[in-house]
Amino acid sequence: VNVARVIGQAATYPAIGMGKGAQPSRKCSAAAALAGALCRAALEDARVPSRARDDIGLYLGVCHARTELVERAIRISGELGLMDFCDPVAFVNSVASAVTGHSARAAELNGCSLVVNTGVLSGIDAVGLASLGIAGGSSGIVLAGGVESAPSPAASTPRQLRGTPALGTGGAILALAVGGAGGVHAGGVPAGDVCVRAYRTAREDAADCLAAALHAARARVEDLACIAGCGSLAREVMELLACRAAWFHTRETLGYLGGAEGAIACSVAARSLSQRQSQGRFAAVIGVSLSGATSCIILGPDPEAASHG
Amino acid sequence: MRREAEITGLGVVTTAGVGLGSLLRALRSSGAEPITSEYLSGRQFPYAALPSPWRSESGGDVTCVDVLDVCMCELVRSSGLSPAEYRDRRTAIVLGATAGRYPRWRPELPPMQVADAVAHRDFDEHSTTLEFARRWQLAGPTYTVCAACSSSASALAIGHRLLDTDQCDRVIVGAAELLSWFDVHGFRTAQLLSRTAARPYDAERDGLMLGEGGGLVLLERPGARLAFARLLGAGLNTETHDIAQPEPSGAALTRCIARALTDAGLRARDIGYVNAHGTATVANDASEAASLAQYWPSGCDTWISSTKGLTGHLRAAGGVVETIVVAAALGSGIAPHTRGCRRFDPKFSFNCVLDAPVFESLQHGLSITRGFGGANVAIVLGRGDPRRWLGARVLS
Repeated sequence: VNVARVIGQAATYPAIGMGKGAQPSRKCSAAAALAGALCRAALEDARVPSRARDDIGLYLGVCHARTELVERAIRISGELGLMDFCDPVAFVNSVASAVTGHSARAAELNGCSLVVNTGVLSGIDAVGLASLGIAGGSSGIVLAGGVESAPSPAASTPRQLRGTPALGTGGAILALAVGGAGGVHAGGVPAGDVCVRAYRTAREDAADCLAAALHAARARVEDLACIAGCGSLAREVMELLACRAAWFHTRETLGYLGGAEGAIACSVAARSLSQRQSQGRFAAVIGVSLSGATSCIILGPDPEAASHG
Repeated sequence: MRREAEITGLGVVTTAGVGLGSLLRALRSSGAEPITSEYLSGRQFPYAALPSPWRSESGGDVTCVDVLDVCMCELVRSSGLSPAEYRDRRTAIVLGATAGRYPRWRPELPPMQVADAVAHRDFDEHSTTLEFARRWQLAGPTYTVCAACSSSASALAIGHRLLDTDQCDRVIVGAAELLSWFDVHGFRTAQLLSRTAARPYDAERDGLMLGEGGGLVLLERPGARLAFARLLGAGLNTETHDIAQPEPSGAALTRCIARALTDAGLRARDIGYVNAHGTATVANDASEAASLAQYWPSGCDTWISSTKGLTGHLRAAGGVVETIVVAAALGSGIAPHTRGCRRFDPKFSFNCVLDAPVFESLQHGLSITRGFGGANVAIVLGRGDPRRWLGARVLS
């Protein structure tokens, strides 16, 4: 079992504000600004002092962050009537990794930083890959999650033309650590320890994917206090399982949040474990995408909390 | 302790041609000038284009997926990987990307309208990975890693981790890049393109030369088949100095290299050849030289070069193609020279291979890549099985 501890987290999902995301500038996409703020908040929640941040890594699930700046750069060239002009500042900042770059600067992180894009599963996969990094010993603390920001009306047009739902604004970042990391204390959200098993397979086997993840985490369906799902088909999987755990579906509750959905599902699942009635139990996060991929993560109880009664 | 992974198959496409044989031939040749096969904007800016003619499988515009297809054919041929193996659910795919599967740039094409629904979808980085997986009927986990020009090098580190933590039995890692309107005019208006050619570490270097191409490698646990090279370790970190400009002191890169060496359990003097990032921009080369000189000063036994004068700057694909170059250097005992460097910058003091390749037995190599957003990646390789390189040497 690959084990990482959730030592803090920060999330925002203002569903009411959908379509009214922060205004991006040429120098920083709105998603990057949001991610930077969430990273700082997650580190504060985890009570990680500034002096200990040097080697902290960042894995972000992001799908659509570059759309806004690409649209801006191309629109400006059109307005100027110049086929061979591309706003250089918007160009540099439209690269997906500019989101992690800006966030790393905002939170003073110097560890590995990268963007994971696996569509709606991006957030789950970012948390899964980050936890594998911790399990493999490559980092002591890693921030992982996902962010998205609602694009401007001009950049939203193509989605509307395709009949796909409007993208909202939101995100969540979890601070993960190896068990017993020196100098790190459990954060404001006593999310418990997390045993993580990222696993993906074909859509039709999504229920098997969850079963395999539970098996890897040495847990049973009956042990689940909560299932958090993301993506368009997660609900079908939940119904297939027919288990009595409380469930939360990001898409149904908050609307389309792209790469942030999985991260928010992880955040909700982690918070559910902090409830008194959930102590000693597990939570599952499952995402199913239209492209036929499934990702699943199991969050487990905090053994230290159990030993302290 | 991290377990080793082995590179047991590979496919590569560069301006030098298709396949390892073409790449080896180009690495062995002693031409001093960069390869500048095509020009942008009325012959103002050279770039390293794919060998023509290059056609799409569908007969339409060529996309990155078409380049990956060719790389995959080469990978299957070189490894003997069966369809049952690459379609297995325990075979993961990790591709690096800076953009999606947009059509290849042509001078007469206007900017792709992002308001167009299809174009908008194709800007998504993951679209390339999904289309590649669909064409080859790959059923395993698929990931797209975005770290700008370090994307495929980061993907290699992620692939290694997936193997190491037993998430899969084999991983196909790589990336491909073609010129797009956005790249051509973005880099040009950012004043990063050279007007002459890529001249890494030259006193008169004036910018980078874009390139087209791609590469794929197959990572497996030791013993699966004869290895081209061994992946021993990786170092990844972020420099927060600026989104687009490297830290002048090279301090972050120095830490990244140290991390990679520690991960591989090696010392700096164990490294025989370093393929540096060497983009030929004034800022990158100066920053990188400051870092390289700390580990491998002039006169030491480690050879260092940049091969961007040969391949051009391949953005997301740079990491994997240059890792293949390091594998080739170790496998065939050749430290390629820095094509395009006519007068080595006198301010630099590291052991750069100039003028002509050095033929020498090499045990360990390092590949360095850096990207917008501050992502640094260093990959450490060890020499593979010599029998693996016999055929490739004959082909070259």
